[in-house]
Amino acid sequence: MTVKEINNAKSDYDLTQASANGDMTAFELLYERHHRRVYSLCLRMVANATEAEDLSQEVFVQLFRKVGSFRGESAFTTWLHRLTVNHVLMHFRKKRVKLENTTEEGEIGEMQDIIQAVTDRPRFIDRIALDKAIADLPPGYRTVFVLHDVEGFEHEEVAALLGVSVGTSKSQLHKARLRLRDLINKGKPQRGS
Amino acid sequence: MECKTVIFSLSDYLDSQHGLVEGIEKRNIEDHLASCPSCRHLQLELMEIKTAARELPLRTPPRALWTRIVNEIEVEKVAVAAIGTVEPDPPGLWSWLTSLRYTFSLPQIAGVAALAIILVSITVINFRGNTNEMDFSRLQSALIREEMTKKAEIDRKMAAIEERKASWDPAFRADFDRQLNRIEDSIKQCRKNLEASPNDLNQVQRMLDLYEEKRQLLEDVERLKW
Repeated sequence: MTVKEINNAKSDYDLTQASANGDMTAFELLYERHHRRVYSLCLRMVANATEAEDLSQEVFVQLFRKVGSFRGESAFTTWLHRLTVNHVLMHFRKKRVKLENTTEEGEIGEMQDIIQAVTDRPRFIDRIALDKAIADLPPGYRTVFVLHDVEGFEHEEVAALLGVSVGTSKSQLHKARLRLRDLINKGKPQRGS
Repeated sequence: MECKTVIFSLSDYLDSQHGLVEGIEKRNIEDHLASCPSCRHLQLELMEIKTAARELPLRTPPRALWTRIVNEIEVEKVAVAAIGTVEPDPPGLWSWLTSLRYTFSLPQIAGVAALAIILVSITVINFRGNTNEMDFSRLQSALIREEMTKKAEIDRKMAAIEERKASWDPAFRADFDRQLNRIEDSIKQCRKNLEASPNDLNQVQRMLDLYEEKRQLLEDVERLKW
């Protein structure tokens, strides 16, 4: 299948309707258009390539089952995005992944470390380093960071998806960003070495 | 304002285009950032992380993923088609009959064979037009059985949710209602489609999926909210 064929194809909505009637060619086109986004989201949330592949597979099989219920009221990408996020969160619930807990003392200690550690600010964050640092985050921080900063969900949406308060979502995001900064700086070569 | 306080509010400040930090607090943070190089550096680093996060490249899964998906869908299709198959009768009379020993002459065998051919021909002529209807009626029965099982579970969950719904966060409640209404509208539409084209297997499958989606939604809410 060529890029031209994909570009010349019908709209996402048309493809969903054809897929709902069992047209596998239409479904394959949907897959071609969206599989990288689904896989990237799964990969960033679980930080494990094998798990991300399994989850992407499950998402697309689920998509095939449910594609007829897409009514075109929102963009297909938004709909698929939410389907993917819900599926990964369900996977977390089965694995009992929880949001991170930090004590007040822990937070103060962390902040003092941050004040001490700020010396030489990097002018550019290497995206590969950021991707790696995201993978190294504790699962709870990673979930909130990926949903908010990578995928663009608002705190209210993150809170509703995770069943937590908006305040918790904000607090987890802040801690995730601080931890990322720390991980990125630790991964950088030291000055003069 | 102390560094500790500023660091604590820095993410809200970075997201302040959404109005998270406003007025005096915002001015105090800006004053502090202007006079504290450490906090300013931290602000810029966090800003870079936030910006870079929106520009992360998409990753590509292995090519084999599509094959795996197609295989799983094919397996599901076969399983769905099997919903309508009739369970074989348990061994009983037939086993007893086949266990007996018979002795027939050649004319007797020829007579029985002729009779069998006539009977089979009549049966085929009579039932040729009804085969699809029989398959469909088996599928319909399977759908009704499945609907009844899922509906009973859904009704139980709904009753439990209705009791607690009033105490939920209004935004969450609105989101839940929206999702539930969408599924129920789809079920109604699917039922209409089935009335219009009762032999449409895709609609039968879609109906089962919608019930499953509804059950799943209620289960998710149960897990999240109490």
